[in-house]
Amino acid sequence: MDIQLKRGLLDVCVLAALRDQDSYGYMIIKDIKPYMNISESTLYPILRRLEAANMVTEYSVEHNGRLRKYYHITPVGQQRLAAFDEEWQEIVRIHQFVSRKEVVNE
Amino acid sequence: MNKQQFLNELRKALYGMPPAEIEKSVQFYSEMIDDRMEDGMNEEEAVASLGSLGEIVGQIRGGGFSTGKTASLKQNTKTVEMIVIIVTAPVWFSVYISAWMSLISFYITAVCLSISGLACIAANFFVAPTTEVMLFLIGGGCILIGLGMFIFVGTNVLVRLFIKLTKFLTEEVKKIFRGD
Repeated sequence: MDIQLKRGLLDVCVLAALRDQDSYGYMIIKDIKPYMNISESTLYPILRRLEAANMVTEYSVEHNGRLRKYYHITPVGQQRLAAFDEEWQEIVRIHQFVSRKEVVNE
Repeated sequence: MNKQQFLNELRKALYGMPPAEIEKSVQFYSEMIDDRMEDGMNEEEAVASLGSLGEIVGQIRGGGFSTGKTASLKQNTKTVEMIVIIVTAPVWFSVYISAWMSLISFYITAVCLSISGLACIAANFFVAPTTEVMLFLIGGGCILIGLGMFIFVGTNVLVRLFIKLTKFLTEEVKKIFRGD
């Protein structure tokens, strides 16, 4: 997949992985893996970016005598997910245009 | 590579970034390795599965999470720090040199005390002293040599500390001037 496209989609995938419940790095990767290839080295900057954009917050929880960082989606992050739904309709139309499957009549 | 080695390498490769960023990255990867090990991998496998260090470091450095605003703010403080370091150079440099001179004078004192101690003991062979004087010379000589050795050892410790301090300060100053 094109790297720019993938980057945008991964941001949304990470938010989606947090939509129903808070999660931690390794679990986020496991949840996304069936759909998109994601590694730790890609996830780290995404989480930092989402945090800087105030879409996720983080907190630490003790687990087996060590700290595990959990990520929580904020209302801003929820809005981003909602916006993605709308964007997707646009993408579908673009796809139809690109693949010339049918002519779009507006 | 085991976990500790990997984290050390990562820390080294991130050198120059803000310490808080480095710590955050190291913690993230430490947690990832622990989670993989909990999932059944052994330590070496868990580290190997993270991929190449170069890729990891590239992603962290190129992550684009530092905003331009804080960067320029930091640049300003760096400039102020640079000016302060340069302008105050006549003060701190002379303090630094005199500190080294004091350490050298301690060494000289130690050597002088030891030599005079030896001289006291040697004096016995050149004059024909009474028993009291002989005991006085040997006792006094031993005290002087002991004192000399004591100062010598103490100065060694001080010199080592001072070299460490110099190295640390040099690194800090280098960081400011390189603009990290």
